[in-house]
Formats: sequence, C-alpha cells, structure tokens
Amino acid sequence: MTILQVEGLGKTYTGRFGANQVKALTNVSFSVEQGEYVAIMGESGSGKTTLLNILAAFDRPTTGRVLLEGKDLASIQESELAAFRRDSLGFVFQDFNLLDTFNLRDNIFLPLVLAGKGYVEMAERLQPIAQRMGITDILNKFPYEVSGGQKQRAAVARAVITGPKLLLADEPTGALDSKSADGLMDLFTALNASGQTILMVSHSTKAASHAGRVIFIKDGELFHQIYRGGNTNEQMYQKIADTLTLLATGGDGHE
Amino acid sequence: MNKHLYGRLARQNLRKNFRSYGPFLLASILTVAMFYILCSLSVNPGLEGTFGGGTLGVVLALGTCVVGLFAVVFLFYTNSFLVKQRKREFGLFNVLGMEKRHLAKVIGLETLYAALISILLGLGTGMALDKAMYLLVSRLIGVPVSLGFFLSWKVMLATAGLFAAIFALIYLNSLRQVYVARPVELLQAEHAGEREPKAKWLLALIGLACLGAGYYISITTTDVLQAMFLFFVAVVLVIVGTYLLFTAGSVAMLKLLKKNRRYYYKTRHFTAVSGMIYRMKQNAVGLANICILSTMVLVMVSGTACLMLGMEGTLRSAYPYDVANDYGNAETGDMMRRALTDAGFTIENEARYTYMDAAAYRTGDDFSMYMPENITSWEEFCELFIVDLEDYNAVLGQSESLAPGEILLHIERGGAIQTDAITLFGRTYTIQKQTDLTIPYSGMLTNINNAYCLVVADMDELRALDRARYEQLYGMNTDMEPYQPAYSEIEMYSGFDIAGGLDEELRAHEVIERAWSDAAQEGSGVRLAGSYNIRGWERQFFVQLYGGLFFLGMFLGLLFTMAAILIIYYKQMSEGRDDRERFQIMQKVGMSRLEVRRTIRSQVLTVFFLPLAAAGVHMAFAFPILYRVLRMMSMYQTGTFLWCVLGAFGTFAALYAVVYSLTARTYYKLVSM
Repeated sequence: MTILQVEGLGKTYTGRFGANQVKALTNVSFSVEQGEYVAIMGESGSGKTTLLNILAAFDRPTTGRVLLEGKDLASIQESELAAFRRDSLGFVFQDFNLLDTFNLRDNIFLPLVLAGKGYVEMAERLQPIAQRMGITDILNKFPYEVSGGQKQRAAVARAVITGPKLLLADEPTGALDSKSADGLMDLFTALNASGQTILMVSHSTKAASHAGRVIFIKDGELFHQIYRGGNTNEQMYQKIADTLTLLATGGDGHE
Repeated sequence: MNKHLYGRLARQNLRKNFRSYGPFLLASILTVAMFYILCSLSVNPGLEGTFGGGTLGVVLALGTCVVGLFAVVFLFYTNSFLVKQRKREFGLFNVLGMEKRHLAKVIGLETLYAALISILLGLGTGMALDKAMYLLVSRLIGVPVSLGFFLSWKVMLATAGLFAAIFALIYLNSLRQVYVARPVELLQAEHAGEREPKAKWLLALIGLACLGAGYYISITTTDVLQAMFLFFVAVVLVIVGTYLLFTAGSVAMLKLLKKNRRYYYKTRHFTAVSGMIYRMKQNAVGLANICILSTMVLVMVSGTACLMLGMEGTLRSAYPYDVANDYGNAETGDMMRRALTDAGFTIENEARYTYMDAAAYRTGDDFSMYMPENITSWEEFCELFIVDLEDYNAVLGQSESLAPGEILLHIERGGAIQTDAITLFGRTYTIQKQTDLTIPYSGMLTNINNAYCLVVADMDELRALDRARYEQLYGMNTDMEPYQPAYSEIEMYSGFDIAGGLDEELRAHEVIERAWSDAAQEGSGVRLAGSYNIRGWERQFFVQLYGGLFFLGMFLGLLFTMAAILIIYYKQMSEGRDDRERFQIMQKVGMSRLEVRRTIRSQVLTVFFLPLAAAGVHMAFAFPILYRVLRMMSMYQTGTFLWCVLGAFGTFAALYAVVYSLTARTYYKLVSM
C-alpha cells in the first residue's frame, strides 16, 4: 500500500518585489510504500530541506501535490494542520529540538499531552518505547544532563509515541559522534523492521546505507534512486558512494 | 581603524537596537526632565517667597533627592538588561576582529550619544513642562502666579552633572561586562544552559510567615502611636516576604502543581507550568521589585491624595469656627468679637462655652490621673473634654436634661464603654445616654489620642471635677501646692463664623493680630488668655504641606510607574527571545498557532499581572494600618481614603493594562517571528 505519494512537486521562492525567483524544487515525483525505509540524499542546497518541509506541511508547494494515505495535504485546513502533524507524522531533527524546560519523559509526552491524552495511557505507551530506545533509566533527566545520542533517542521516542504513519527524519545523525550515529541507525533499522515507515533526509553516506531505498536529488530535481535489493549495508554504501561521485562529476541522472 | 567608523557604528547600533534602546532613552529623558522640574520648583522664588514657602521647598527638595537616588538605581538597572541582550553582538564584533579597546570605544560613543540625547532632550522637556508644573503647584497651594519664565543655571548644571555621572557609571559597568568576558562566552551569553531550579521549601515558608506577620500587624494594630513604628516593621516584613515568596514560594508552588499529574499533564498547564518554573527563576526578583514598586506607588498616591482631598474636612474638625479664641476667657472673646465688628465683619454664627480639657488614664470604666501598673499601650492614655449641660444645649440647640450625678457620653475615639457608670477622678457618674453629638471643639478632637466627650449637669459639677483631678495629682506629688482657682483646667472657647470667603478670613487674621497685640499692651485693661486662630490662615500651612506632598506623591508615583512599566517591558522582551526557540519546537511537534498564541497570552498575563495582583493584596492588607498612620496626620475620613485607594489602584491598573497590550503584541511578534 502506498503511504506517501509525491506528484510533480515544485517550489519557487520569490524574492521581494518579484525579483530573484529561485527554484528550490522542480517536478519531483516519487512514492513511499507502507513499511519502507527511504533515504533522500543530496548536497547542501539541493532542495532536501525544502522537500522535507513540504512533506511535513510546514511549507506549501508551488506546483504539484503531496498525498498522505491518499489525502492531499493541501486540503487540510490551517487549523487542523497541527493536529494532523501530531497524529500522522513523527519528526526527528538534526539538533534534537528537545525542550530544556522538560525532562526527557515530559519531552516525549509532549505530543500526547497536546493531543489531550491522560497520564495513564501516556505512561503505558512510553514504557515499551523507552525500553526499546534504552532510555528507561534516564527518563527523569533533563536534556542538558544527557549525551547527544541519548537526546536523539529521546527525540525518536517522542516522534514514534503517537504511532505516526510516517517518521520524517532530517539529518538525524548530523550532530552525533560516529558511535552514537551507528547506534541510532541500528535503532531506525529495528523500528523499520517492526513496520514503521521512515523517510530520512541525510547527506551521510553511512546513514543512508541503512535505508531500503535511496533517492538522490540534485539542484531541486530527482536525479537517481537505488534500491537495496539483497545488498548488505557495505555494498549499499559502495553503491551510494559511486552515485555521489557521479553526481559530483556532473553525470546525467537516470532511473 | 577609521575614526569615523566608531561614530557610525555607534549611531547604527542605537538605531538598530531601537526596540530595546528606545524605551530606555525615553525613560532616561523623562527621568532627567522630572529631576529638572522638581529641582527647579524647589528653588523657584515664585513659590519660595510666598507664605509658608519654606515648607513646600523642603518637601520638594526631599522629592528631588528621592528622584536623584532613584535615577541612579533605575537607569543602571535597566541598562544592565540592554548590555545582557547585546553581549552576543559584542561577541560577534570581537570575533570579527575588533579588539576590546575598539569595542570600548564604540560602546563609549554609544553611551555618549545616549547621554547627550537624554540630557539635552530631558532638559528641554523639563524646561517646557516646568512652567506648567509651576502653574499646577501654584494653583494647588493657592499662591498668586508670578509671570515670566524661571530658569536657573544652577539647576540645569546640577541636572546635567548628575546624569552625566550616572551615564559614566553605566559606561563603566558595560565595560566591565565586556572586558571580563571571552569572545566565545560573549557569543554564547544568551544560551547559557540552565538547571531546573530546586524548590526551597524552608525559604518559601519563611516568606509566607513574614508576609503573614506583616499583614497581621497591619490588621491588629489599633494603637495610633504604635502604628507609626509598627508600620515600618510591617513594611520590612512584607518586603522580605514578597521577595521570598516570589523567588522560593513561586517555584515551590509550581513544583507542587507539577507533582499533581492530573493537573500537570493537560495541554494548557503542561507548557505553562514548566515554563513558569524557569521564568520565575530568572525573573522572580524583577517581579518582586515591580510588586514592591507598585505597592509604593499605590501607598504614596492614595495617601497623599487622601490628605489633600480630606484637607477641608480635617481643617473643619481642627478649626470648627472661622475665628476662635481657644483656652481663653470671656474678656478675650469679647475683645475679639469687638475687633471683628469694629472692622466691619458680619458675624454669622457664634458659640461660647466653658469646658475642661484634661488628660487621664482609662482603666475599664475608670478615668483617673493614676498611671496603671502595667501600661500596655497608648490607648489607655486619653483626653477628656467636659462641658456642662447648659452650654451643651445652647451650642447644639438640644434640650437634654440631666439629674445630678448623671452624664452624657460621646466617644470620639477609643474603646466602647459597656457599663452604666464611670468613675472620673474618683467621682462616679451614671451614664444617662451615649450620644453621637459633641460640641465642636478644636484642639483635642484632632489629636491622636483617644478622646471622650462628657456633659455634666452643671457648672458646679464641672468645678468639682476640676478640683478632684487636681487632688489626685496633688496626692501623688507632695511638692505641689494645694488647690487654687489658678490651677483650674477650666477654660472658655469663643468661636465666630464671619461672612465672606477665604479673603475675609485672611483680613480677619490681620485685624485680630493687631487687636491682640494692642490688648497685650500694658494698661489695655484686657486680661488675655489662650490663643487665637483663624481657619483661613491656618489653612495655608495645610495647603502648603498637603499640596506639596500631593504633588510630590503624584510626581513620584508617575516616575515609579514608569520604572515598573519599563522593567516589565524589558523582562518580556528578553524572555521573548528565549521563548522563541521553545515555541518553534512546540509548533514542530504539533502545537497549533492558536495554542501557541493562547499559551503565550496566559504566560505573559501571569507574569504581568502577578505583581499587580500581589500589590493589590498588599494594599488591601495595608489599608488598616495606613488608615491609622493617616489618623496621626489628623485625617479621619475612612470613606475618602477608601476612594483614594480604589482610585489609585484603578488608574494604575488601567495604565498597566495599556502597557500589557502593547507588550503582549511585541512579545508575540518576537516569539512567532
């Protein structure tokens, strides 16, 4: 079943007074199936973040549309957007975006509290997730008291506690040391194995090599995509690296 | 580096940071102007030369000192907000290759510009408003207005000098902040990680106890003389309590709320409670400052307004008749009456009565000269004002009758008397009736002591009482001589109301003054007794003092209000910057704009109105003791005072609300940017 469908997406930023039109995305189309783990790769300025912002409904496309489980994001009222985002999407950010004023437990509870859930239900939901993330012992700590890797795991817990249809991750390993990054990627793989659909934006080859499919964007356009097939992580890594070389040396994309 | 660059950079910085620098400049301009005005008024010959100008000058000079002192603290404090906010900017300059001495130069120029703007515009504003204020004060205290403009170089120099010194201090403080910090620290100054504050239960409880004790003193102190001293004790207790409760109490309270899961994990409370804990940590002292400042404004404004508004009433009870001879005798009264009619005054109303005015100790239903064994309060010391029935009926137009040994009793001030009989200097009387009426009498009724007015059956009874009083004293002091009529405390009061207004009363003062000094000559044939007073003349002293205090109260009230508003504005602005990040995250996690807006509003509302609400509660509890302190100043109208307090609070709250709406908007813009 297709969970996310992106059709002919384009985004043009217009400078003040209509001057300086900048095309951030041009005619991007792809789809994500239920249970897939997709990585989107590209250099800085290639349009990755714009794409993610549109998928998360933080931004609206100039052309094209995004369907989540067949529902057009553009059809959602501004007032319902927050609730939609809360219930259907989970976010993991590069800089964690945990609130300093909450301990980890309350940070994870935040979307549930916003959704009006009771404490007992929240605690029940948290227990297995926290165990899985390995943060059960540090739930009472504040973000400034734990390591980057722990912070990011708490952020993942916050993202998945609502049971989102799609987990969106924006450079999740960007601020982590390599060991924590590896741990997080294993976590993502495990999450995916248990059925979580994941869409991750990254320019880390290592991170992307865990994904089932990698989509490459260059200058706002879909450039290429590779499927894992039966490849191991190492083989996947090699294929991604090759594609990136191609990308950098200016070859034409193909599907 | 290019010389002009510093100046340009400094000017640019001022412009760029206008949102934060603007209010500071405005406040310092107004402070300069207010200082100039007060200083100038205190030496204005137009006010000085008039009757009793000395009193007003002293009041205004005192006010000038207060404003000067306040200006130092206030400008220094608000500037520290600015420096803190701009640390990052300084750090950036530093990283871009500006050395600290270059930075010092830029900041120096900035401060210089700020100082020049403040002092020049402030002096300008001050001079422009000075005349208006002079007219206001002249009108308030009813002195003739002198034409022309009063400008004093000395005042200008003093003002410029004081504020130049303050800005120099501010500059030194900024330098200190920049010099001690390293560039990385400067860059990160805004992002210093913070620990969650701990709940300090003991401090919170001490704060509660202090506040309770302060309130208790205010409510329970009935003794007027004690009230004055205890008032200051209560003020100190309440100030300490306020600081402790705002700092420790608020955090403890929030932690308690946080522990309550059903309450805490609700969309509306979740972010608010946890946010407030941090907010209180950073802002508790500032909020407590605002609360205390607001309370001060309220006390000052309502107190002085009440004195001013109640002045005519106070005057009337102190001087029931336009012209009077007090502690006098018939001859003196006659002399004054003659002088008035000879000078062409029409006497519209007059009263004459004989009275006895004596101090005594009250123990239950016993009034005597004997001091009680363990005197516990000044309440037991009281004044007795005694007349005979004939004068009472004549002056008040009553037709009471008394059997021998019976009295009428009126309690002007003091504890109720439940018994049917009382003992006066060893003589026992039956209380025939307690009345609301009393003969208008000046001296005693405006005194601070408790006072009882009694009516005895006849003159003989009055004389007997007078003698009995002396005997009691004589019994205690063996070196006193036996009773003679000359030792009598029985005096005569003659009062006259004359036709015409204030001018006539002032003319009457001249007439009586001359007649009195003539009568005091050897061989005038008049045996003068007591003193004379003319209400219109006495009024001028009251007007000078109360008018001066009232003006000062309003003036300082305005200044303090401005300070409170500015502090709260800066608090909100600096918080807005911190909060922006938090609200962005919450929006990403699924908080709608509406919810963000609602949360922001409730937080700003809490921070804004917490001090005001606390000030309101302080004021409510301060009411009883303030009323007693005012009583010391002969102000007895509870109603007037209540209205003054409500009026002051209403005005203050309205001003506050206006600033709130402005601040909330700017804050929301900052946060949602």
